[in-house]
Amino acid sequence: MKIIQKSALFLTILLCSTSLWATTVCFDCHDSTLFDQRHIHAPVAKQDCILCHNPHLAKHEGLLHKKSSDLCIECHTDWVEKQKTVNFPHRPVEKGNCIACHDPHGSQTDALLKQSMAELCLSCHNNIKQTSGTLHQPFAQGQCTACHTPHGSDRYALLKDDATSICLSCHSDNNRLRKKHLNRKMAQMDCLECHNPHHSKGAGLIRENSHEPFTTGKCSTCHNQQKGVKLCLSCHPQVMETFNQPINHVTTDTEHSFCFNCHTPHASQQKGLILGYPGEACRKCHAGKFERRSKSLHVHPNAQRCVDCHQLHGSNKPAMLKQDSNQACVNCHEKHSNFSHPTGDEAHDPRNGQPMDCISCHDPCNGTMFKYNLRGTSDKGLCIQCHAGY
Amino acid sequence: MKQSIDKGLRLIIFTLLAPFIFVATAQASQPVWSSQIVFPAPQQIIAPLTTTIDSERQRYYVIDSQQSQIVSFDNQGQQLSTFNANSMLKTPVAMCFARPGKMWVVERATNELLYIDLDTKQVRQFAVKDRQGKPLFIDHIATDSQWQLYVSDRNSGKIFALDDDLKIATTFNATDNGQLIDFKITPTGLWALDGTNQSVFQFSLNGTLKRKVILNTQLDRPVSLALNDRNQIFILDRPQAKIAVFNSNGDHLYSFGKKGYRRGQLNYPNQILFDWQQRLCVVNQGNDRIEIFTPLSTK
Repeated sequence: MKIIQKSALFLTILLCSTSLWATTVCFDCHDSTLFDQRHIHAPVAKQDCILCHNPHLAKHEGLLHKKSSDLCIECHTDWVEKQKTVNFPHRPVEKGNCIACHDPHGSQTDALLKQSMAELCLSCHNNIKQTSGTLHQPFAQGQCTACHTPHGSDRYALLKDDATSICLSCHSDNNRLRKKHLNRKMAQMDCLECHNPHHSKGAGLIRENSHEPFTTGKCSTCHNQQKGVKLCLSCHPQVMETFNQPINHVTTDTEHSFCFNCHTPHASQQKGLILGYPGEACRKCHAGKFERRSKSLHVHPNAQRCVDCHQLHGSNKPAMLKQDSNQACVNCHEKHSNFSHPTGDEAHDPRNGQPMDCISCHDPCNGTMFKYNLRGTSDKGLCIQCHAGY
Repeated sequence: MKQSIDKGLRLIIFTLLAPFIFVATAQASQPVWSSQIVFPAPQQIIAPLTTTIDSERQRYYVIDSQQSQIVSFDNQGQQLSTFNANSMLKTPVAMCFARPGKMWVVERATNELLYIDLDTKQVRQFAVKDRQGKPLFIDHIATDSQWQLYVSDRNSGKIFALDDDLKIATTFNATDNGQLIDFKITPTGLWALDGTNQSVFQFSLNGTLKRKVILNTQLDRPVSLALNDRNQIFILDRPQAKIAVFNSNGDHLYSFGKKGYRRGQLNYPNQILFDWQQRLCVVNQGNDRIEIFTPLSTK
């Protein structure tokens, strides 16, 4: 019995001394002052380097025991299970890229963020970067997490709660507010339909493109009038012709006109009064497309800007592509269009007899697992589908 | 004693394996669908929209909206003739036969129904409206054995049977705010696809809902349905370029189809229907062709 007790004591002392020795040795080479930050990761503070690193050899970069995200979730277990079920995971989280946002050693900011929250978020979400006009206070102060949850959410745009509930958590539902909104019940309104939660050149953060009756306060132009698509066509009769195409976006009038599936009758961030941010209105019905795209390794920049390639009311081309859909490619890839594979009537695709175009080989809409959104690579059977002799 | 233990063991083993044997047998009976006939020739029809089948004369009629015509093919896919109703067709999107020698065509350019007399070459135009006077936005049309006309209206998500004056005689309505986007008339009634709730409705031709079949698998965007003579339900999922097959209770049996450009592969397929030989006709719109699939063998 005494022997066992002595052995246990010896082993404990040995392990402690090894750990202490290890950290001491680490800082012989690695400057310890570099880790001296305002917020220090707990293992670093304890100088427990070998919790994450193997001092001799490892398969992973930085001599890490495991891939970084696998290593992180060993300790940060609290949100992992919930994260698996959220509808909208943040892309870096989904890819297990924790260090895209966090510094695993130490940081001057809370939550070990690599930069201040505003700088960090806007480094990717640069489309909302704005310094002029009216700024929403949390946005101006870089408090993105006032409204968004950074790891994942069941709501679009990683919102913490329903958009209107978030707004009303700061903007009290009082008489003054209701008076500005035709005395409607605030909780039943969709604040984001008219207001930009980040910034706007308009007063009251009203989105910058607005419907004329809304701008001029002539609400009765539309309200308490006839329902359905007839209401919209009473001012925009010529628009119906754009739907008279073999493949079109006519849908069902429910409570209101089917136009409201994609357009807002009040104010929008986008031209044509399209709802939400680019792609947001499309996602409501074409969620499968967005899901497939999110699983692709190579996704075309701005793939969510559906209007670049698609004719949104109607088209005689499959997928409601614009007649000159190749033009969208040429606008940016001008040189490529001059030296690349022959296209058009001089090169017919032997697979279906159609004139070759950019999307014969590329799939910028869904994205692919191959570079340049190619539908395959030369060793994965793309070229040999047509050039079998090679 | 030993024999009875053996029998007991065999029974237990059989009971445990039975579900696996059943599943394996069911899977083995899945047919392999193969593209047997392809038409038209390349570049002849760009983005064909819909097809109508004349079972009696064994012909396929393909709507060529880009060239404003209807093209007919024989049972081997050989082109027979083209028809543009004396240039009255601008953007045809669907057709069906009325009485012998007469046809209905949905003309999208003017959002009208055209009644075409093939003998006299006369074309009559009709703007069809609902009971409130709102124009219908007709997508698919079909006639029953009594030549009564049925139309699907995209704007209301309903199917209507029209009388001789093209007034709505019967309404076929989905439950749960569903939107009926395609339908087929069979000897067992009118079957309609609810794309929103991914279910199929069976109606009698007087509009009575007989039953709702919930499709028991996740589809992306179903656009067309067809029923074979065993009452199996075939659903075309356009973005996924797949055809999912269900039994009459909505249980998913199997799926087939692959996205691509080559023969047998689908690219934005738009419509499915069975012909007189129970061959599956697929309007392979993105590949500019119609493909006739037959069940070659079983897996």
